[in-house]
Amino acid sequence: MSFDSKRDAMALERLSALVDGELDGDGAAQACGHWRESGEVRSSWHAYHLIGDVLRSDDLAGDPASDVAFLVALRTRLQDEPVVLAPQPSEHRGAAPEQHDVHVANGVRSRRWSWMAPSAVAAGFVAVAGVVMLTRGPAGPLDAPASRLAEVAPAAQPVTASTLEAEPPALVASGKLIRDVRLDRYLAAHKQFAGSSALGVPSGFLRNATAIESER
Amino acid sequence: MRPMTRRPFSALALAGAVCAAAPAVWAQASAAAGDGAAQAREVRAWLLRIHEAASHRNFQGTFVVSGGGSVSSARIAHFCEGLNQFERSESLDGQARHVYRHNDVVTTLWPATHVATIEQRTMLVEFPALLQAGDDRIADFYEVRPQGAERIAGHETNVLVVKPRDSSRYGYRLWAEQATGLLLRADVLGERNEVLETSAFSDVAIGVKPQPESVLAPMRRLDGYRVLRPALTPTKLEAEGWAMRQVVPGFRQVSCVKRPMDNPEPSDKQVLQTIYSDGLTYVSVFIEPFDAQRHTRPMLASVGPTQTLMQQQGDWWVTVVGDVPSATLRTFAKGLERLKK
Amino acid sequence: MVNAPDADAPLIERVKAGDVKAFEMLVVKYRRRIERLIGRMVRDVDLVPDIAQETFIRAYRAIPQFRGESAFYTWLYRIAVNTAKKQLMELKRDPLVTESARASRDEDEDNGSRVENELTDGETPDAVLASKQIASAVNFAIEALSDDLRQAITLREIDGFSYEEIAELMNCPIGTVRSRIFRAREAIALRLRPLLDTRDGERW
Repeated sequence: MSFDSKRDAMALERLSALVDGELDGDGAAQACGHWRESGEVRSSWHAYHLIGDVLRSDDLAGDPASDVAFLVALRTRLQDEPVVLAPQPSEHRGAAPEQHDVHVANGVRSRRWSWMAPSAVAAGFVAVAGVVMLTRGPAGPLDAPASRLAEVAPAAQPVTASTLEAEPPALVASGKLIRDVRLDRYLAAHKQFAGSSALGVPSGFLRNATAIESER
Repeated sequence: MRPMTRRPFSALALAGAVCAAAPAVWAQASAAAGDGAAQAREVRAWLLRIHEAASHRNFQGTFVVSGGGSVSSARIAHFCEGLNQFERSESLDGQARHVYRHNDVVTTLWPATHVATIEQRTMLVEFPALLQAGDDRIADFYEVRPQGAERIAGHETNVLVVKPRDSSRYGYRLWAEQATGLLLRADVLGERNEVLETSAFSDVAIGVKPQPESVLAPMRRLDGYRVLRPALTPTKLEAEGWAMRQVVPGFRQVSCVKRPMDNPEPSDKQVLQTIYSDGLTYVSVFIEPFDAQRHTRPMLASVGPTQTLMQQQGDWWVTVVGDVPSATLRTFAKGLERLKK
Repeated sequence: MVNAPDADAPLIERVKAGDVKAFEMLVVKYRRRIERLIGRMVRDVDLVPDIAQETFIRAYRAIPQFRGESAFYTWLYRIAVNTAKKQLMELKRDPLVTESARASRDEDEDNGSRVENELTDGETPDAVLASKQIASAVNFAIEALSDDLRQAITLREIDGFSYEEIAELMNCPIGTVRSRIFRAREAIALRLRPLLDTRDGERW
């Protein structure tokens, strides 16, 4: 097989590395993007794994058509499932918060801070379906070119809103975690009553609740 | 016997029962094994003591919460003078956020954005006293056992293990200071006994001189702040057209309010919040009209011990939040039923 | 072999970040093994795909709770076993059992012995032939590889060594290991693709 371009070959080689878990977070995110877009990537992923399975055991050779049918059926069920999120901490620690300009797809711009430092547990970091384009300022510690305007997909970097005033649009790039201020508000509303964080401390045992027993 | 007073209470709420548990109760632990009723009383006594300490002791220190892969810390203080309670918490990392409480008034300040919120935390539906005499619900759903002693932040503590009796809730390990019962550390334990979150004092002074002004002064000093006063309106679930058909065992409704979510103007976007508790933990169920622009994708988020489920149900958007396994959230969501008018 | 970090870790991180497609990639990877496992537990092979689907849905919902204490496949394996057990128990209570299950139960009562269903979805004559062809294409292609490529992919897929370990064993840079494994896969896939329905992956 000849590759249409060097880029395709590189993408497939990275995919092969991902099969072995030998690709970093950025690479994995890119590969997942390709999975979405490229039929060749999908069929290669399937083939590479089939090869491994067969090498280990002939009885896993299986029926490829049923592999497709299975995934198509599962995809339908997955679409009904709430998107699962378990935000992971940023790989970078230390230093002061950093400011990024975030452009929402509809052109609204809002300022977001990103933590490089340990972030509050009470904060929720959320990816919400949608598309965002993230640009970085020239002096970002992550060496993205200043003019880059693309979906950024590093390991989870929590970003928080710096304002409560306006209703911020729900933002995320696929793969990039950006805080949804509304999730925070639900969390805050929950903890407020739930006896824990009159003062932002999640431990229900330590704090007195916010509620006062009625005198009735 | 302490008279029934109007005072704040926590998950370990009480209705006037005296907290008598002296340190001797720890020694009696093994003796109570096998006697269910006595054991339930003992459990209540332990938990009451912990609650009393948090309500009535004067203490201050540095409090650290770690879980879900991140850490946050705050300087906190609590003072009690007669019937008045004062609390303050000043975050030490991340975005600065200072919270001050005087009885039922809570003022939260965000210095970075000069926003302040002032909220009245009145409980609107009568809160069933979870620890009052005769209500042994906590013992029905949790098994509480002492587990030795340990030193935390320079203080001797007794360790309590709280094991859930079913898989609908999490377990806990508690470290209560021996002399006062003040909780110095609490771990939330997941389904495999793994630690989901640790909340602990890294340093604490107990029995400090109360300094109410350190709480009251910042609550008054609001020049330059935009002050928001979100209003919570008490209501009843049925009055809003809903019923909860399937409650997770052990959980009872403790509150139901309407509140603004996005901005404090009461006319805007109200959300119905109903809170359930099993005596130790809480689940909030938020209901609001479905809005395709804002409610883009159902989600199940997991941050430390806190699970959040958001999904559409008919013409509504339901959010369920709690420090419970996500299956419990799903049960709550499924149990919601829209009443026909 | 030292504690190899879970090869699935990068994809699992992606799933936790809300990327559902990453989970699909894991499904494609593990579906055959999971179905084989379930097939050993459940006599009625018509149930296998459903139980497998249910397994993956449960795994998806529970992924926040997977923190790498075990290998992902071990964790998935346990979910599959539990899901299969649950389904079997529910079926015992459910009066509507599938025809094949009832048939095999009846045969049981006649013979007093375990009876496997002979024909399954994947075991029609065509399907059996197809999988035999795939197996032999792979084995043939492996033999045709140059020694370097064959050794690299064997050390990876059969012995389970990491790239770093393979680099040490083959005395070459890690980049070379990665490239050799890739080229081995592509050479084998070349022979495989005509046999796979999913030649251009569009049906996915």
